[in-house]
Amino acid sequence: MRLCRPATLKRFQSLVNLGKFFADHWGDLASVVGLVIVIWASLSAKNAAEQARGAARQVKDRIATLDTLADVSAALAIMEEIKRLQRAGAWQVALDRYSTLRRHLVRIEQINPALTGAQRQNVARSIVQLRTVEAKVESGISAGAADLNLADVNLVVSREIDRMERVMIAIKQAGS
Amino acid sequence: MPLQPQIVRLVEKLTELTRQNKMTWETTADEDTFLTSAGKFVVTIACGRGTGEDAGYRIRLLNDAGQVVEEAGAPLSDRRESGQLLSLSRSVEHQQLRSLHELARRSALHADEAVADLLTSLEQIR
Repeated sequence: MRLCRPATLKRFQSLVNLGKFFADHWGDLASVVGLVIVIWASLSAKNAAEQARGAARQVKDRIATLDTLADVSAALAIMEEIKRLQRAGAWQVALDRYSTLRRHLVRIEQINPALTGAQRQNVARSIVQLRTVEAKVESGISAGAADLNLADVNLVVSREIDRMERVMIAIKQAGS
Repeated sequence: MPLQPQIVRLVEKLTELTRQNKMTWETTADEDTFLTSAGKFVVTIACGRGTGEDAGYRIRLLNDAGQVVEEAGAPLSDRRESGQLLSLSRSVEHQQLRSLHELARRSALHADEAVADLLTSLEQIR
């Protein structure tokens, strides 16, 4: 008969001990495994909730961007219209359009949280520039429109059109 | 009415930054009004040459919706206001606003670049 080597015997002894340990503590081990599963499941649920929140935020931002682009387009169209009206000497009608224009510009500045500081500054500058034009037109009308210099006034409106075009391009690029 | 201490500080800071070319101004529809912005605010500096209530130098601070948040002014002349002789502090305020207005005008019209450009052109003439 061949005797077992001491190393094999030792390994066999360990297996026996391990089996005994499992037999004695299977309840505790099951609890630990259960706990791990519960933690894993709750982490997965939290992850899913965060993903859903992130997706909802993305959709909200996208809608805000689309709203902003719609306002920028409307503002650009009104500025073009103001230029045409002023060219035709319809100062009073043009004056009415300035308040609508300002509403769009204020919405652009306030609705989109993704606007950069520089873009916000550009919109704010545009609002004040167009207010100055409006005041100039207003005082010109009260003075009988004789004081109004069409070239000067339309030059500023054109400059603001360029500025808002740049803002629109930047928003589009950031959104794509 | 004398300028509030905070407005005086604002004018001094704007003057300093404009001198250092760290603040750029732009022209407006009104040839004597210039505009700049910082953070959420827009600042305009105007010079009313008439005799009405807009006469004199006026600085305005506007919010991002274009509403005037703060406004202050100084007389056009450094000697008299409404027929009265100016006090020393009022005269200093006049100097400060006049200086800022002049710097804003130069910045908006790129006066320094224009002069430098013209000098270069003149130097090329033989």
